[in-house]
Amino acid sequence: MDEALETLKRLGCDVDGTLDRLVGDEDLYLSLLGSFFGGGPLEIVSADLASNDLPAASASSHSLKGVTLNLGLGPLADSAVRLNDLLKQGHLEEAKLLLADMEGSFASFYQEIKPYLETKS
Amino acid sequence: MKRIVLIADDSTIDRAILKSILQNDYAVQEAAGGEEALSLFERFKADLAAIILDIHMPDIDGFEVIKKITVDPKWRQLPIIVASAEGDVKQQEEALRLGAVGFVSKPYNRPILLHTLANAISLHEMAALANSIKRDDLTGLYNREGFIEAATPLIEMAPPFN
Repeated sequence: MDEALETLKRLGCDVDGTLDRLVGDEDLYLSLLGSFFGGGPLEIVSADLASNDLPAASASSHSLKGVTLNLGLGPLADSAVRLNDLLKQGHLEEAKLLLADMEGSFASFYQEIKPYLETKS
Repeated sequence: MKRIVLIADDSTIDRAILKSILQNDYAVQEAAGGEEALSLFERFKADLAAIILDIHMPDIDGFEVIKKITVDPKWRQLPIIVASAEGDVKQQEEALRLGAVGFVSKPYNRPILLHTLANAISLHEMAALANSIKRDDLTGLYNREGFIEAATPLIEMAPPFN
């Protein structure tokens, strides 16, 4: 457990703030992270962007922003905030470029924490 | 017995986080969308202490939920707190204009959320108590004190009688 939390901190996560929201429940934290990454976090936004549906992409990126912030996902949350800002301003093409970057960073992040999430399940 | 708080958010993860913050102090009813929130509101409204509502929900959004609840004057004073990601200033304004009493941002700050909710519930309960003191239990009409308090400003506004 400690190793998982240390890895999250190393990756820039707000572990203390998130654990405070979860009243110190470390198991719940890892379980929610498992649900988040297992659910294909970028798939809905990606599909909305691929179909050039700006209102839908704006809404789905807003949900992504809320969840990444609540899970304290540091740099991933920062990029989700930027993505949502771009879409709110109607910058569809810039959002697509950012999403392509995000897919890489989300995948790298997941690879780092995946062993701990699998240990839990 | 714990007070009942209805939470509505289409994100399972955000709901789980909100529930973990609240569940030591409140009995939490969860809705995964606006439609379910309205359904649970109908079921529990007599015992509800407050509602925490996400604005962005795919079926019926939070604004619509607020409108549908507050259209009935009986529930207009029920504390509704709106939750959304940080920076949504326009949405905060709109929610407050529609009758929400407060706003909590994601990521949730546990003490701020709990204080905001407790204060809103406390104010609502005090107002309800004050209102009940001014009315007759049986008829629901103003009692003598309540009538004088309600009528005095109206009488003072009236033009002098010549």
